[in-house]
Amino acid sequence: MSLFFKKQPQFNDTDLASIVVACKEQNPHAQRALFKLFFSYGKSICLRYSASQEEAEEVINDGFLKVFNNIHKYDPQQPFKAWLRTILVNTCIDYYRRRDKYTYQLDIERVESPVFEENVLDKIAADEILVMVQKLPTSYRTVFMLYVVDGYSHREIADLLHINEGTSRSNFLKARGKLQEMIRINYPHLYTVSLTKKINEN
Amino acid sequence: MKTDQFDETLRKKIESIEPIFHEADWQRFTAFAGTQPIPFWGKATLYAVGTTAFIGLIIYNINQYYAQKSLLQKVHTLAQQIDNLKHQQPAAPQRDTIYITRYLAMPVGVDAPQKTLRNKLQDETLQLTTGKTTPSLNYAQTESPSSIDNTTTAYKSGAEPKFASGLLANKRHIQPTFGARSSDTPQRTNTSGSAINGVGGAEPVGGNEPTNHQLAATPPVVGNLHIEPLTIIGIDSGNRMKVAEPKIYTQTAYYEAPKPPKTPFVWPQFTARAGIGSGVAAGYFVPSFTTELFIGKQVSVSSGLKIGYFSPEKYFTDEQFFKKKQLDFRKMHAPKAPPAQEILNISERVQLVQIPIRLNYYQPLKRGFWLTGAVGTDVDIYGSKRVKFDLRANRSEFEQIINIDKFPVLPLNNFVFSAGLEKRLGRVGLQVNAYGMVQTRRPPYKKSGNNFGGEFKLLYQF
Repeated sequence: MSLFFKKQPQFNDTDLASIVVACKEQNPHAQRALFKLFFSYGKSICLRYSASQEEAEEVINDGFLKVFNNIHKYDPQQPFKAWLRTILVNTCIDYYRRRDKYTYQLDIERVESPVFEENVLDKIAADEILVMVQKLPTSYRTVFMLYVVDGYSHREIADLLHINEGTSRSNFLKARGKLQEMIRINYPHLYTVSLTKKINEN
Repeated sequence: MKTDQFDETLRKKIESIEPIFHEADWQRFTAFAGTQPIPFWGKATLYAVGTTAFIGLIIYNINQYYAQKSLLQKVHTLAQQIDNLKHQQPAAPQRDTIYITRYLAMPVGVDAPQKTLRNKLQDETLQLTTGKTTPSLNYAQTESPSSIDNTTTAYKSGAEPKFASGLLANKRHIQPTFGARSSDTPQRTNTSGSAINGVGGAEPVGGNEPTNHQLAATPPVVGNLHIEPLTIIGIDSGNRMKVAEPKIYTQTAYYEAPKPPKTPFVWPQFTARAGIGSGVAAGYFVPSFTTELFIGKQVSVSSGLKIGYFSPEKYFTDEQFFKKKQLDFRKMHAPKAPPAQEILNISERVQLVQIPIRLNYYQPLKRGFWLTGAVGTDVDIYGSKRVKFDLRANRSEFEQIINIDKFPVLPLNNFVFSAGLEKRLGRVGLQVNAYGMVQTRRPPYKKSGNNFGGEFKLLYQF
């Protein structure tokens, strides 16, 4: 009978190593535990690379499916979070590649240098910033997030996205400019306060 | 705000977003994955019920098959017996014994008439003749039968004699008659065509009087019956004389059933089918060739060859390959490539050659449709990995490299069950099945564990 029925390995909800071992044995309870444990972290990654909540949900599901299907390849010596992050970021890139990847490739000369007030970003809620990020074109957003949040170099970004390094730089600068522009348009009162403050100070 | 500060603040803000887990998220994931995880006990129950039902069906089918075979053999034997009976000549007469009891009304305490009667009855003989010649009855009596109660005689005119039931099992009626030339005496013919004349009672039917009967020296013969003389065996409680039934020897058509011929062991008729098909599961496509051998009308064993193609794994660069697999692609697949050349567009595809072994069951439905069910395994016999990648010397020059690496396989690693429908059009069968594959062991070349899929088969019956 052991040919057909394997005894499911026990795991501890709080012990990641035991969860991973159980996941390698395709234990559905362990899979759920792992999903629950890293859902928040994974979803935040997917949200910043996606244009909407729905897309982020699709990407995170796809990403976790890859995680469960490839968990036997995971080396326990490496940090699990980093491995998960790589898979999720790559899944986001796969989605990017399916979309309009060559859209919005503008010349670097047209990018305006940003002039930005201090403390303005601090006054905006994270969710509101996320909404603005999601409004960015996919190619801008992907490059911007890879560079700013996930720490990839432009060379790596170029390799990952199959674009030129120059295009990567261009897209990054354009993304930042667009974001600043959106903040100016959406939150003019913050600028008013800030400017009044400056005048008073002077 | 400086640009670096802007980026840093934005990074912190974005990383601070932490969505909360809800149960619906997991449900959405399981729905996305396409498989609702079944708890262990649920799986076990499912397998147990499925296997039991399948084995039960097979046993039932085998039982039915042998019951039908046995019935057919019986029918065959009976048909042979009927044929033999038709051609068989009537056998030699067989002698059976019939006792006829006669009751005589006698006054109590009168000895003389009793003795007289006893003596008379001892000499009483019935003589009957057989064949086409006119039957005659010789009834020996020295005294007028008026002293004997006619109602107590063995045979009364028109009444059927009481013969031992065994002798009349074939429902032949022997009509008792008196008077050899009686025109109103019913005559019946037996199978051999000879007339059977019944034995009459005290009252003769026709013109002949029993008083003139002569005592016959030989036992009477009625058709094929030989009747022995009557004997008084005592007096019953009603003070009536009890006469032993005479022995009647019947001349029945004797038939000895022939022994059933020894039938040699006959193998069940085998029917073979062959065909092609294809199966599809998540990330897996498998064209196949199948041969099937029926070991009954509804049970078959099938085997063949399957070539499974797993969907390729793709990596943009060897760096990404390393990040995902922690393996150096260059060392593994392009050791001679100059380090200056970039490795791009890596694609890995696993190909698996398998021998499917199945035990199939077919349940007939209406209009040429059959319900199908099968259990078995896919034995892995050969595995190879096709690795394709581009070597880029510069931006415009690419060289495509294809490597095929063989890897060792684990032959027995899965359990397959399937169910579906088949439509038979003459010798051609179109089969659509849904199947599930349970990995009992997990070889490294199989990306996913248990999976479900569908298969289509086109089969031809020889």
